[in-house]
Amino acid sequence: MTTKLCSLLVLIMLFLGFTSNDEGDRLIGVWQPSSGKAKVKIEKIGTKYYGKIVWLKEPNDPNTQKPKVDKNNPDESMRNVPLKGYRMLKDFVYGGKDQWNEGTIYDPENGSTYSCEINMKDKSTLEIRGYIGVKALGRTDVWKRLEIKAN
Amino acid sequence: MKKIYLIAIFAFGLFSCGKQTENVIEVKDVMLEAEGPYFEGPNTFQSVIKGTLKNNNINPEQVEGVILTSATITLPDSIEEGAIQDLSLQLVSNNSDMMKVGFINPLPSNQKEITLTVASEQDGLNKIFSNDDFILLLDANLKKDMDATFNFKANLTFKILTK
Repeated sequence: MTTKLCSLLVLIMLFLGFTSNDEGDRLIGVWQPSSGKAKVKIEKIGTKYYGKIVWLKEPNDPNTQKPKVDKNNPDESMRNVPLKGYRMLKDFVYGGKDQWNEGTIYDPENGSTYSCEINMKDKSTLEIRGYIGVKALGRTDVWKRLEIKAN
Repeated sequence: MKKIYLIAIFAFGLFSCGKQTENVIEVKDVMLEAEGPYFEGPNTFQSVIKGTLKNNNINPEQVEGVILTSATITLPDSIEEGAIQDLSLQLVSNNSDMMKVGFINPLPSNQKEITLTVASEQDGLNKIFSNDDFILLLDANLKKDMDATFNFKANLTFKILTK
C-alpha cells in the first residue's frame, strides 16, 4: 500500500514538474516590440529565460556609420559592447498563469535597467511591463511573435 | 582615561575585523559548446562549471569577494579568419542574475587566443559563486551563416577573498 502511494506521489510530482517547464517554454521564440526597431530572441538558459537582440532596423550608428554599441551603459568599460546580441531581457522565471516575472529589461536608449513582468495574452502576443519599484509606475509594450518560416 | 577607552575600542576593532585571505583560482580549458549550424549574428555557446570553490578547498560561506581578473578565449581551428565580429562572456547560476563579465569588439586579426576586456563592475559575482555551480556563456557574433559545429575554449582567473 505504502509503495503504491509513493509511486503515485512520484508520478504526480513528475507530471507537475514537466507541465510547469513546458508551459514556461512557450515564451521561447523570436519577438518584435511595437516600435519595430528590433527583434528579440527569447531562449532558456539553466532554469530561466533570457532575450537577446538579434536584429536591428538601423544596425549602424548614424554618427559613426559603425554597428551600434551600448554607448549609454552605466559601466564605462562596457560601452563598446555591440547592441546586436545584447541580452536586454534577463533572469525571467515562469510563475504560472501565463506570467513570467522576477526579470529585468534593459533600455539601451538610456542605459537604464527596469524590473519587468511578461504576460502572454495569446500565443503570439506578449505584454511587457517595465517598472521601477511599484508595478503601477511603469510602461507596457506589446510584442508580437515572429513566425520563422521553414525552407 | 578617555585615551585608554579610545585605544581599547581601536584594539577591539582590529581584532574583531579578522584578516582577509586572497586566493587566486584558475579555471582552465573550459569547452564552450553549441551545436551547429550557426546563423549570422549572436550565437550562444555554454558550459556548466561545477565545484570551483570546493575543488580549491574554499568554503563558500567564507567568501567575501570574487573578482574576475582575466579571461581568454581560444578560437576553434576550423573557423576562418575574420568570421567573428565580437565576443561577450556572461556568468549565471540558478540563484543569481546573469552578469556580463567580459567582451571584445572587434576581434583582433590573426590571433587564435583572445584576451577579453574584463568588466570593471563585478558586484554580482559573489552571489553567483555562492552556488558553486554556474553557467559560463559566450556569445559569438558571426558575420555569416556557418554549417558546422565547433567549440571555443575559455581560461579564466578569479581572485577570491575569504575571511
